[in-house]
Amino acid sequence: MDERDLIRCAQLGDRDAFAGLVSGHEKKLLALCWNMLGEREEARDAAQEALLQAFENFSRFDAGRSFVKWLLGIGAKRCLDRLRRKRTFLRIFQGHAGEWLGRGEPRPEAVAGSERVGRLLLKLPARERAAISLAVFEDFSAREIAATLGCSENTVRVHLFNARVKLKKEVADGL
Amino acid sequence: MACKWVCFAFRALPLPAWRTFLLDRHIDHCPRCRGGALDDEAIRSLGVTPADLQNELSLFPPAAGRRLPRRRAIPFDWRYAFGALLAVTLLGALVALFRLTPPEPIAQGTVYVTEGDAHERIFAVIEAQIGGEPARPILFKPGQPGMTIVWFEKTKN
Repeated sequence: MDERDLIRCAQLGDRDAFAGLVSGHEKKLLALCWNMLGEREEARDAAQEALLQAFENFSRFDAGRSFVKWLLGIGAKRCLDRLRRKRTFLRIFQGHAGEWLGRGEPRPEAVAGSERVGRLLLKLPARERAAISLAVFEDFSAREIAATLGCSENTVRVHLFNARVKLKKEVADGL
Repeated sequence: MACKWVCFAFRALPLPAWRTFLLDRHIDHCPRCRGGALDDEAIRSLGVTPADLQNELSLFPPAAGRRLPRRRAIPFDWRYAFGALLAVTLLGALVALFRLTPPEPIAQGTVYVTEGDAHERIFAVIEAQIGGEPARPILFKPGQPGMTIVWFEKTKN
């Protein structure tokens, strides 16, 4: 079955068809979530949530659109939600967060993966990170990013330029 | 020098539309300004790509058993519904009462006052009306010289 057939079957509620449809895009989704969240386990959780959300709302998917971009858009929104919740949590429980989260030290298994990845990307604000992840890693246009993040195309272009400049500085400082 | 000013303006301007104007007019075409930003290839090397994730397990099958946390719905309660209906009805009745009450009629009249000092002045009510109908004037002279208080009452039929 080609992608169109899989989409048609999945829209009728066929879980296997949906699994077949997403199997080719899971790694892309996980990579996006990892780049945005900076940690493997959290990225896997966010990606799974995005897949579930996509499956539950798949009847509303417009078959004329690109499936992978629709799926990645959901993933980006899920990651932004998580980052917002985390920021709120840290703001409220600033003093105790370190103790509860293991004094801010990353878990050993997370270190190996995220040492190379994300360390510099994580220094960007959440929306800039989302914009740069979608633009550079997923080839989203400014208009598509704007639609995903719910802001104007101009804002996205400014986010992208700011992110590039900040990353350049971070790379230069790291050398 | 121009690049320096453009960069300063880019940081200082508050609206994204104005900043985009600078991107279109200068920054995107200027090798020096673009040199201050990291290119796509270098950014890709900073993050995870699908090629790095070949050993990752599939995400959807384990997810199929899970449910998304849903927002807790507010349970419907007849008491709340009845209370809300009562409040709306009372509010409607109050508004209707306020709108149906006719405004107080305006009193109009003509008075005649002669020239002279306070003791000699003659004060007379020539005509008095409330809402277009003849009214009864009542004059009251308190002890103070030169002061007369007048009010009107509707004549009872």
